[in-house]
Amino acid sequence: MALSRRDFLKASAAAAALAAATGGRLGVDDAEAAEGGLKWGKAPCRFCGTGCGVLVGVKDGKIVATKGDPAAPVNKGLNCIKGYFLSKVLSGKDRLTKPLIRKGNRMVEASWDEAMSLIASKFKESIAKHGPDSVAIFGSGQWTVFEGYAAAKLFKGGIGTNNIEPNARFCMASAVTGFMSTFNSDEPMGCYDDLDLGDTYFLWGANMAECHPVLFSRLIDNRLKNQKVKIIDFGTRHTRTSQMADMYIRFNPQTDLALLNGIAHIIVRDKLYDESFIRKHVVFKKGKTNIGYGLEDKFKFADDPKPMSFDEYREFLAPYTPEYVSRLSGVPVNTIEEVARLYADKKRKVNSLWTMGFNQHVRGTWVNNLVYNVHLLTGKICKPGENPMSLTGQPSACGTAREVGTFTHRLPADMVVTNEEHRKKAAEIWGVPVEKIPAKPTYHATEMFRALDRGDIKVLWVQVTNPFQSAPNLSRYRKGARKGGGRFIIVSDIYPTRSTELADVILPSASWVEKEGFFGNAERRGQQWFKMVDPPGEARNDLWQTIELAKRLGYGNLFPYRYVEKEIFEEYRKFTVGGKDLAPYEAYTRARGLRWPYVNGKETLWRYAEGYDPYVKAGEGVKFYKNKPTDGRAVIWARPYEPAAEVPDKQYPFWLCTGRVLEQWHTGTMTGRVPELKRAYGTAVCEMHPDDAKRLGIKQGGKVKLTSRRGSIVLTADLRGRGKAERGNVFVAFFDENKLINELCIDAYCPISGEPDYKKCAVKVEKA
Amino acid sequence: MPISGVVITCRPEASRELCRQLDQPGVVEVTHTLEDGSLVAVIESSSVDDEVSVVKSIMATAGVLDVRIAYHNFEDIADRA
Repeated sequence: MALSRRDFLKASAAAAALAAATGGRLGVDDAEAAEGGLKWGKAPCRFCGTGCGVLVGVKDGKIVATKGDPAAPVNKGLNCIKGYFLSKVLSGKDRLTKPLIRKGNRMVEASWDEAMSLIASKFKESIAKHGPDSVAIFGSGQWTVFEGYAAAKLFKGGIGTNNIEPNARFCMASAVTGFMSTFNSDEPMGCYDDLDLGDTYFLWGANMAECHPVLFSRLIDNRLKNQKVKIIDFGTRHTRTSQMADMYIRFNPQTDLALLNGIAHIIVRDKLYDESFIRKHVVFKKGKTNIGYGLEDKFKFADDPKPMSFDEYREFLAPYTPEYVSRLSGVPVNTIEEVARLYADKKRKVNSLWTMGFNQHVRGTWVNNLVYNVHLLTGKICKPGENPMSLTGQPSACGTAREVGTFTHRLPADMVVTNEEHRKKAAEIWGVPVEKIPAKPTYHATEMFRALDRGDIKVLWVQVTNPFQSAPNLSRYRKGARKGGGRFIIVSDIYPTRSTELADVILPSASWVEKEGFFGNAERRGQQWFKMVDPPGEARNDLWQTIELAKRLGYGNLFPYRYVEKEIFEEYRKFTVGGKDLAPYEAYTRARGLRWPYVNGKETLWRYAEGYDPYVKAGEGVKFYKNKPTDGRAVIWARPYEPAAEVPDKQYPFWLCTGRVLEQWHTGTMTGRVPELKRAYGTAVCEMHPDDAKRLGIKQGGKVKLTSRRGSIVLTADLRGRGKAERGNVFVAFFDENKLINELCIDAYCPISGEPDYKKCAVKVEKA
Repeated sequence: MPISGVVITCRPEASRELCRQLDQPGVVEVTHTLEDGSLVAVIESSSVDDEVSVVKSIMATAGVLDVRIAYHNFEDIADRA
């Protein structure tokens, strides 16, 4: 009997699911053969930083099917629920298709030539009148590697300003400064294989089940196979992750600093540490304390590290008794003792995983240091199945923002503008005079928007992000953008957003498989894809836009490429030789991603580990070789508990925490275009504890007014949602463009990383 | 009509009962039960909207730990997708 097309597709669906579930393999070629008429191509998913592999099926120039890529090691053929919407996010009805120029209160269609001429004239005028530091670009961890590299080269090597920042400053900067201060090299030693190989997983401020569902599934799969596996969720809010964990440990906001010192206290007190590992691989240091919160414009901070001995470190830990830490954190003494013993148990393979709870923190760098301390004390690091790992929220926060170096202070591959040798190397590769690259960083993200508000920055180009929804203390920066006085804002995006509404020019961009691209995920895996469909209308990719501006400013010579993407990548790769060692571009076109360092045709699963990392010699075991100033040792830092910038008081008695939910991604500019997701979770709500609600006369579904020192907002109360706020805390997701919760957030930040704390400010809660 | 192939991770002890409970001809067809208790299913519906509702209701079913998508074909509604 002949199969109908529908029967055939059903069989294909079942076969693909079965193959993924059983570890079978169905490659691109096989898939193409199996479903004649569809052309399949590989790409990493467009959403979070996990980097799941997707196969995209195209027919007659349209995407008609997607599947998890069975050959992709990250997700092994399975995608999370967002996989249903990968193609839909490209085809919203209000997709931007033509350049738009502001004429009074209206945005008027223009040609690319008109738009780019206007932008170039504004750049030239501002640079001539106010100098190169009066123009800036704000990009993102969704920039492809090519886009981020071109922007950095144009601004630092062409225009001659360090005014380039990514939105990754809002989500990953503390992870970077944590890595740099402890290991003198950004990015993790471990990889996702640790999710399958370990048996003890501490999650800190990470709702993995909703925000990294595919990685959380790997943990669940591991637990199903191995009864020893324990998942311990440290949180200030009960989530779907807490529900599925073996232990949920609620702690008071900001006291993660004290908890980690308390765990270290017990490990040192009871001599549970690995003495040999410490002797060979660790040094101890302390830095400045009472370091401020960056609330004042032009706030400056420089740490002053001093060496210390293990005995001095022991003295530093002395006050962090389980009793003291319990009083601060609200975690029972016996739980703190139990957790410390789990961390130190020599028969357990221990991993720590974290996201924004650590990074969006006024002591974000410190808390990253402190979790490394525990792994370094116990020697549970740089081994298969035993590692600390910072997870990322954007698809190329690591590959582009961090590794290409699109921060004000960075150059590609861990290099910094303050180092003369680094500037020389960059200038040589870029073919520009070294004097062109300024030696001083200018503004990190929050300071960049403060500079725009003050008028120190006049022209700002925003690409692939939505800062006028995502910045903290948002009202100030939204007003600042429209103050006039020569300010000129350009926004490149694929949809109208709360940022495009403030723009003087809007440029329609290509997205994901509408262009050739390259992302780098949280486990050092670089992934390349080819263009598969055309962007709609006159939309063009951001890389073309940046190079077009360069040509019009007289810097076209910096971009002399024919096959632009490949040649940019190969140029960028020169920066990585002898350290991060990216593979040749061609290798990525074939592979489902490769983890650097890639040496002699082999990727590296575990950095700093003999037998895996090509830079660790035989007999060395573990070598933190990037930390040359400490003779290849990692640093255990004495970092104290210090309070949040703003704590609840009589007038503002609740903590406000913001974050993400499963259905909506970041500011919702893509997922908000999917009607199904809008219906599933279309409006931000205020999660609060039923006891707090009862005391205030607030009912499920009733209106609640939140007020901070910076603004107020009315939301619907949710007392029994998937996420459950603890007493004295409220939680609001930040995706909703009609409920700008970030207007309430404080723009206090970690003085070392510059990353704001979106997780803690004080609010008043009233029945509305 | 979109069609998807999904893998449903279950508590192993709940797998047999879930197979019976989730199977709805024309909507959810459980095609395989694996040794570890996971279920392989095909979901059919009139729109992606319905598909997502079905997946979310499976996710919310007691004993289900996770639902992941292996395959999604929406060729006959690609213009609207």
